[in-house]
Amino acid sequence: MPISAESLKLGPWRAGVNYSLPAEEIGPEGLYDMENCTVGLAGEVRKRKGFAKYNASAMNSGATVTAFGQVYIAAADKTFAIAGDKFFDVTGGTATDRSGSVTITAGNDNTWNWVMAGATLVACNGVDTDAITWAGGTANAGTLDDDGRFTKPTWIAFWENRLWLGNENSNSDRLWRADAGDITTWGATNYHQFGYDITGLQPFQNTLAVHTDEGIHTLTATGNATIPFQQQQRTQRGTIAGRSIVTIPGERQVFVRSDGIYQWTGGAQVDKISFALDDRYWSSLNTARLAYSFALYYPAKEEVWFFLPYGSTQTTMNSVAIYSGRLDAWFGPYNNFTRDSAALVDDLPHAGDFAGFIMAHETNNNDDGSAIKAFFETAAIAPLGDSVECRWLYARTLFDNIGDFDVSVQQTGAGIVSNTETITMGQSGALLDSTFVLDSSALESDVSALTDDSDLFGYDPRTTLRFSNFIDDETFTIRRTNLMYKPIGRTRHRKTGIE
Amino acid sequence: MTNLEVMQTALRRVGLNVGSSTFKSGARTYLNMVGKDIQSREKWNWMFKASTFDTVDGTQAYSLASDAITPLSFRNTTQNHVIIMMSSQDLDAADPDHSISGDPTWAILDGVDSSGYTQIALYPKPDSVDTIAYRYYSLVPDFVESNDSDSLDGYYSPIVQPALVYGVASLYKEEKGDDQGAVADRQEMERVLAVASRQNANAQGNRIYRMRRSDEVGHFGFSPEEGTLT
Repeated sequence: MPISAESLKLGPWRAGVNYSLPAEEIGPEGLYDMENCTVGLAGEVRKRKGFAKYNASAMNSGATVTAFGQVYIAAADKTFAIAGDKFFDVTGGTATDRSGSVTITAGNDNTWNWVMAGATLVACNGVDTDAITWAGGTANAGTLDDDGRFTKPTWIAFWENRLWLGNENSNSDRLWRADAGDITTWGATNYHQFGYDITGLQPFQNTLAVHTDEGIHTLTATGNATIPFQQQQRTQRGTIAGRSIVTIPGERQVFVRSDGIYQWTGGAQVDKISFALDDRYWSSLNTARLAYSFALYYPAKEEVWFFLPYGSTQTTMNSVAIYSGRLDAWFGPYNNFTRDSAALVDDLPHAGDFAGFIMAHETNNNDDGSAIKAFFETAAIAPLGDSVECRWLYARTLFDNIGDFDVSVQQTGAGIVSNTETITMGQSGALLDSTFVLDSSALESDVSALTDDSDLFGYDPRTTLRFSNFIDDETFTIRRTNLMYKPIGRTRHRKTGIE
Repeated sequence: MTNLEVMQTALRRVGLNVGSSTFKSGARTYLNMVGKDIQSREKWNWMFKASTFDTVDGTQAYSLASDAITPLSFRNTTQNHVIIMMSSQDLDAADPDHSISGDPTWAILDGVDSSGYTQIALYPKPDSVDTIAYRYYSLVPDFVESNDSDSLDGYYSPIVQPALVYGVASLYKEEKGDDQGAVADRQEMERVLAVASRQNANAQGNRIYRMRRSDEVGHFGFSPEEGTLT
């Protein structure tokens, strides 16, 4: 006999997570909370992939990796890294010291900004007197010849065939430009002043965007030899963290400010895009350290990973909030690790830690051998309104058949005693070959998605589910879930909560 | 079944968390209510019980078992004689200062003791240690949390126990506003009780009662008449 029940469908969760709203005000396509989960294009929620060491041995006795990247230089793909006070060629995961005689001052906050200036890698950190250069191959790093015009430049860009360096030791609002096609020639008056501390540089459309906290300024080539670039202030808000500026397809530049993450499309205003992170997430960040936050664009998934300091006293970046350009939605954070730098290596996100390692993210189902603790929590929707009591019967969950992994499904609600059920993400199948054991092996299923029912309990106008898995090398992909309920009607509650 | 099994089975039917102390407390209250309902339906054969106590030299009043609500009969198994029940007025008339002692042959209902247990007085006041056996009709006491793991077999016939589950579920569903579900469980409870009631009516040992013929009542009668058959 069929069950007489109504159904509340939660998911697909294409709206991502929303930390700015109470669970009761989030729609069925949104999530109330999550950690270490990602939202796919179909709105499915997956446990994030883990990470593994890119370099087998710690660089520089476990020093902090303050910069690294993969560049095409001297006719080869090279991965370089700066760890502590040394510069390494770490291509393929084996680190070779290429420091030469350059001065690199170790320090977690002495992070480096780098560009490929034609055939030369150039990096600066705002701490050491000279920017450093590297020509690849077996060469050692060297110091940039800046004609003695400035010291300790912080921000760097390569645009219009020129090298640009800004926020130097004597003039934090000054941006120097090298001659066209010559990164070692710097005219005595070849600089621009903006009146505010320069906080980041990023070429954008046909301009060089110069960020200050007070606005985004642009330099536009004029074609005039006397005044080669026109300077304009375009907006009243710019970034506070130059390493967080990322330009994504659609020609959108996104960046971190103290109150959230903004986007600039080249016009006269910026737009805040991180309202969904407000309150329950952003208010827990150590805003005093946001200037050291950084971001990474992950082209394969059109995601931007923002590495942020979560916790009122957190100094290092320990939380990654993900912006999906395809979904225009947020998910994450990814956590349980701290990072000081990030870059793409072999098209995958990599990040430098504080122990001499570059970690290759998106690689496996554990965090360098440790379990990934992942969960997500649905909205708390009252299908018939706040006044109508429902008896919650069971949940039918659609998920990908990915293995014999258990996922805990915890049901909660204001008037419901928390209860946890378990659903299994399919089964480990075996091929029908010589290894197949009768009465023991199970045939591998060709079904890509399965459903499982888990009990629901209690009487309340609304309920919510929390899916979690904290086990090493186990993962899950939840497509959506349907909550079955029996409408009871309007009943008077004697008290708040469980009665 | 134990109390807990009844409560948790009922909570499952209601759709409430079986581990919640709040819900278990509610179910326990309903279990006690349903139990009283069932006990009052009829004289259940499984509620007739027997017990014993030992007399103490010089002590007249004795407490019966905690569930002994109605004493039915007493006998002195040590001296091998019955004890007749009499009224308290008769006791006071026979022995105004309650000083007479000897082999008790009378039992008097004497209210309840400080614990609320039924108390009886023996007359004459015992002057030795004898074992008194008695029969009584029991009352199932209200269960508390410490009784949760107790078996119900000592209180309710196993045939009746499923009715407790349905009864608790029915009352809980009513509380939650699920009248439709409550009616369904109430029907199940009544079905179980109906069966138990028939079984209770037939529990008369191996004696068989035969209905009288309908022509045995009414105007038909037989009486020998004086005379001869010729």
